[in-house]
Amino acid sequence: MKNLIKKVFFFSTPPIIALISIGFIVDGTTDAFYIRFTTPKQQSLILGTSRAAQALQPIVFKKVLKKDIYNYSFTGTQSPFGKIYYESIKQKHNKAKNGIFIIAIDPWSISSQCENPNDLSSFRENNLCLDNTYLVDIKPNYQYLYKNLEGKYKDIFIPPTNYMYLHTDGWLEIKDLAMDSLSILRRTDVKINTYRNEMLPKSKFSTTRLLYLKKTVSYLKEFGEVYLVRIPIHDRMMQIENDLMPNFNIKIKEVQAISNGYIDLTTRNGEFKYLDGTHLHQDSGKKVSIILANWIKNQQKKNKY
Amino acid sequence: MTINSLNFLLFFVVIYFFYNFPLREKTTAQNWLLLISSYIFYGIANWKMIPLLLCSTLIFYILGILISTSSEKKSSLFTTTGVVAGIGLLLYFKYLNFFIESFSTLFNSIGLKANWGTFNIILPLGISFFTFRLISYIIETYRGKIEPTRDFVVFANYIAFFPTIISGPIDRPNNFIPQLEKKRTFNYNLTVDGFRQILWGMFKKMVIADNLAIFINNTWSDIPNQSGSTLIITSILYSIQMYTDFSGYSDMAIGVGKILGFRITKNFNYPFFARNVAEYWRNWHISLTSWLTDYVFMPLNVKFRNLGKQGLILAIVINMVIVGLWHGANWTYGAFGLYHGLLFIPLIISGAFFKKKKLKTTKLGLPTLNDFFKILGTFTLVTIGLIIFRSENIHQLNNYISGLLNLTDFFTTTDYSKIKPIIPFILIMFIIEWRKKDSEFALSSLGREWHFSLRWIMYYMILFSIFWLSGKEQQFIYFQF
Amino acid sequence: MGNNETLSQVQNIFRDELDNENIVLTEETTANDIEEWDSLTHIMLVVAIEKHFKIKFTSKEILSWKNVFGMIENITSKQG
Repeated sequence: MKNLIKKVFFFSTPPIIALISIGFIVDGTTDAFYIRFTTPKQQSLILGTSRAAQALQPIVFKKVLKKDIYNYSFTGTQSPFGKIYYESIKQKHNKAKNGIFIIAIDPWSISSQCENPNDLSSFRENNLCLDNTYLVDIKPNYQYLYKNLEGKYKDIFIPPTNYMYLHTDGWLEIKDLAMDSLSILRRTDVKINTYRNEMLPKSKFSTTRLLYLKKTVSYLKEFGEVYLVRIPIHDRMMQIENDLMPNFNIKIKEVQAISNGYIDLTTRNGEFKYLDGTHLHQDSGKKVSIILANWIKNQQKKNKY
Repeated sequence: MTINSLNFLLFFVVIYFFYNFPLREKTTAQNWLLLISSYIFYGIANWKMIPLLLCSTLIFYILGILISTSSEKKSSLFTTTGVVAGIGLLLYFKYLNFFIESFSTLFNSIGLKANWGTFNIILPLGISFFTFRLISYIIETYRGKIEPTRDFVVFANYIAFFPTIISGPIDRPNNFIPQLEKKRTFNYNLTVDGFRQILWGMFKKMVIADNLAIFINNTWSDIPNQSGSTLIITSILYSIQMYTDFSGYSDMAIGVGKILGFRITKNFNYPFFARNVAEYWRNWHISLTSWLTDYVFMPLNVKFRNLGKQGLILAIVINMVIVGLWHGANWTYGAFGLYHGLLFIPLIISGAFFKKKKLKTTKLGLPTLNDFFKILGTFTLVTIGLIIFRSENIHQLNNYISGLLNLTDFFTTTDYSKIKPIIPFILIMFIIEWRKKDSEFALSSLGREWHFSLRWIMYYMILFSIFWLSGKEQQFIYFQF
Repeated sequence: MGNNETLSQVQNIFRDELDNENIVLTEETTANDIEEWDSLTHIMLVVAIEKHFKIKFTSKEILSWKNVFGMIENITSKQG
């Protein structure tokens, strides 16, 4: 028996050391979410789906608003508004006061594709990373790696794609994508078709999700200022969103009322460049971030009086 | 929880600690530990069915004692009752809805209205396996081959033993109960052999089977749009997936048993090296086929013994149809069984059925040309059978077979990118298993004569491949049996 | 007929049916001791024994033999 214990100990030591060191190799090229679970809790947050993750750049906000702000947005599948995102946001916030919270909203993040749009047990974000990662501020985050990278461990060593890099401030940078008009058109067509033919027919407005959006805003208001933004999208996508929820601005009126302000930037859709109809190219994202940051600054001045 | 999960590892480490330290060589206490662990294990999967498991165990325990202490007439009655109850249990949970639907369809097709609703029956995990253990126990007691045990904890362990309750192998009481009754001393070699077997099983299941599954499922979900070559390749890969999935899981279960000091019965013996269908079935899912051989085939054979070869053929065909239907409630399973039963006919007539010649290799370790073609031929027949097995209905089977034979755009390829990295591993696995076909399992003896550092490097490489390539957790195919 | 006489006749039947002149049976012999004696050839042997001794076994008897002794016992009991 002693012999066995010795052997098992010696045999398992190298693999265990290897597994532990993996935690130190994972970085912003491995996947689009991990880094966000390894940074400390934050005072100010950017929230929303992949539009916000890619468009809203913390560096810009820091310059204009003189505050560190963290991009804790994920995707339309992982972080639509609901109990799971709400609880995770609470975890990521450091409970300090005087924070700034920018929440990007759109019809998809208050809609569900399941039979009953208000059935929490069948929400699309169930069992995904925001649901199954309990500690959101630990580095390396082995729990995240174990639960969410199964089958994809090789991505740690060989980045799955060269186009993406997740920064430590939460900004998901997309670079080097072909930006000639044909490539953009192709990507946009695919995206638009998917949204129109697969997602739109199944999507229904969810009062539960709206409720959680409201809860999120109320909660964060205790700790600072909450601003709502509708990020610009390509007009082709705008048509689909209008089909889904033509009265979007009316639907979110109650949420707007308890926030520090709402800016609908889809009135300026045509001014920006998109990768695929729904995600802004990083240059345009920077522009949008500047516009938004300045608008917030103005709001802050207005609210002082 | 499945054996190849982190949760199971933690569960097992805790049990093993108590099993070997405070409770070392205290058989009764160890048996209690095993029993409680087995019920926890089963409960995690399916706690609502624990009363069923416990009650049926209790009833059959009592039956066993009654059978051995009653008169010939009474014990015959008890045995029949037990067998009928066991089979009834299985029929109810697994096949009732199937019968209802089939009779509905039948009645509807001849113009009689039948709108019978099916019941909401939840299939208890492992039912096809533990009912077979229960039935085997009373039959062996009745035949006088074993003495029924007076130790309920021992008996309950035999039925619910956690490494094997969900998916087998199906141990016989003759082999397993004595192991529960006697003292188990720590056996270093057996334990390490168990680790090796778990490693090998994990490799087969996680690197090969789970990765093939994704590709195969994709093909099968869209058969009309696949080219003939894709369908053929997919069918070959499906045979490989079935083997690596099931034998891999069996290896893991047996390995866990060895670490606990038990020798669980073998389930696979390199079936793809078989030279005819009879040899294949002697080496595939051995615990099931030997169970049916002893309790279905042999009694039928005895009954038909004066019908000569026709009697034998009839017994085989019935036996194989039951093998097929055991897998699930679907006509295609029955058709699968029938297909194999019919394949036995030429073997019986020619006499090849009775011969069990050992596989001899040439000087270079390769099969003889004759044997090689027989192996290929057997594999082809088995692969065709598995297409029937996997079809959900005649319609899908028809689509697949006609798609296979369709020469239009035969060579159009599909996306093989997920499969390509796995091919070398499949080849490596077959080569290793061929070289080690005289061993209980391939990794048991591979590298034993090397320096330990080299052997460890090999184990690390296998571990690494599991880490690097393990496919998304695929629900073990035999889970809902 | 004495047990020895029965044993030698059964031995001859085994040698004929299993095609092996070297088979030697004792009362303790079981299927594990003879390579050619398995569940299939078992039936062939049963049929041959029934024919030779002009008797009939029940299924239970056939399936309950543990060794040759069990066979012999059943044979002699049926011969009266």
